[in-house]
Amino acid sequence: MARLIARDVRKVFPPTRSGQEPVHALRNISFEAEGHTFVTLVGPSGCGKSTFLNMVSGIDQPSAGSLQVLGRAEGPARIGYVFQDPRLLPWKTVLENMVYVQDGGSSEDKAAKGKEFLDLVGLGTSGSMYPGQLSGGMQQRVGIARALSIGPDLLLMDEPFSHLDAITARDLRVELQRLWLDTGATVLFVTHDVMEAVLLSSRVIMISSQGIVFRDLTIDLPFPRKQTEKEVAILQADILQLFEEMERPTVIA
Amino acid sequence: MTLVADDVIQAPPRHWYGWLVSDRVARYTARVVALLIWQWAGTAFEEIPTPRGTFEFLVDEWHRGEIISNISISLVRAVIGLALVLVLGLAIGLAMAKWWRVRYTLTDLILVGITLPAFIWALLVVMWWGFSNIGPIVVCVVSATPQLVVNTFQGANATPGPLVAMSGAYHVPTDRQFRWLVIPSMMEYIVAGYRSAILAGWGAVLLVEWFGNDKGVGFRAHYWYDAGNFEGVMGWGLIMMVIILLFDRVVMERVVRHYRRWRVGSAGWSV
Repeated sequence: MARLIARDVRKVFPPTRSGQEPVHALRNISFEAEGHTFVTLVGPSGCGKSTFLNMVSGIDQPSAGSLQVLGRAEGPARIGYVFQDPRLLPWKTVLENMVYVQDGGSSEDKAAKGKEFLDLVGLGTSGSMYPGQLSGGMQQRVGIARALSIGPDLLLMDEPFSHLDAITARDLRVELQRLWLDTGATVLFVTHDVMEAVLLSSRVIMISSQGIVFRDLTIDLPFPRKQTEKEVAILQADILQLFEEMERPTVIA
Repeated sequence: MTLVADDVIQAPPRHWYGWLVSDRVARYTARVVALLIWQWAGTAFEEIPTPRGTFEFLVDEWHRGEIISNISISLVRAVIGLALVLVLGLAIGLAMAKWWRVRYTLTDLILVGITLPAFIWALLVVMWWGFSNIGPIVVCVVSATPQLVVNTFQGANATPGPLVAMSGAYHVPTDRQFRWLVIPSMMEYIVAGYRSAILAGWGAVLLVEWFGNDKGVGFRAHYWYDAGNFEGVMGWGLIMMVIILLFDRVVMERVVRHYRRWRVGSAGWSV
């Protein structure tokens, strides 16, 4: 479990050509997340959700403000990252992909850990296969197993099911709830799918297309949840209503 | 609609003449046709040696003890030269991809290396070092290295950005990123570049031996050229070709198959 502290985080992309305006991807994002919680950033495409995850992971840096991730132990927090596409090394086997991100321990230990987490996502027998031999859903499960295998304090997930067909995505959402309940990780999830946000999250942070936090909502429904539950549908409708309100232009008299 | 057994698509029937249109038969047919054309040309024109005459010459050359000794000398020169090409080509190509100063300093030199013919280098090294082992090795290196440098540079720039970002997010150590991500992603380029480099390097060694050496396959071909022996020139030309073909088939094709094994269904690829 981790503690994530975001204070007035801004991200501005400088112009790439003269005459272009800088792009303000995020303005003043502030929130905290701690413990066994599943936080989802939801917002329209291009509102800076993925940029925020990249900054949390260290791939990118904020232009202003501060981002802190505190882990359980001394030293830098362990952060697992599940990307939109699985980002597996295609020339390495599934098990070698698991070993690739492990640090410390012998080769045997790393392989054993990789195998353990492949078992956890139901791919224990696929370790010797290459990613190209797996379906999109199986590849994404490898991506999830890889992220969990490092024992993350914080698990980042960037629209991990957006490239999958509806049935596979539904199955993986069920699986993700089980894994989150089992591992007790802190999860920061990004999606533009409101149903997905309601189904998976204990907390939903709505980001507007201007890159600011519009609402910070607690989803107080018991886990595990199902897509077909009435309460999920009602909450989804409520949040969509809030989105309409958020995107409505303000009329100044 | 009801599907009945007759609707099921059947595999096309196998005809008795099917083997005639297989790829293996196509390859052997090409070889036999080439041999027949050679035989016809040798019979029709006095200046062109026949396959039989060439073969008989090679048997005589074998008995004179020239085949193994000259091939060994040329191969040692080529192996040393091509090993240097591999080290230099990879190092310079990677350095050019990583540091822009190196890139801008070396770009013109690499262009010179590519455009200056091995023929000119061959004449120069004969003037500089005479009949020594240095000349063939140096020309092999200067002619072949640029081919590998260019491909390595392109390969290094083609390393998939999303996988680099993933490795950064997981704090994968740099040496592991290099061995597991950068090098494998460049293999397609490196092998293609090294294949061209081998052809250029082998040709360069033979050229220097032809122009200014007293040993080697190139020298022996020149010897028989001076003697006006067509079978001799053709026989040693055949040896030059067989060596490079054997190396490509036995070594390079296996290397290509090995690094492409992750591609699904690649087992049956013919390269």
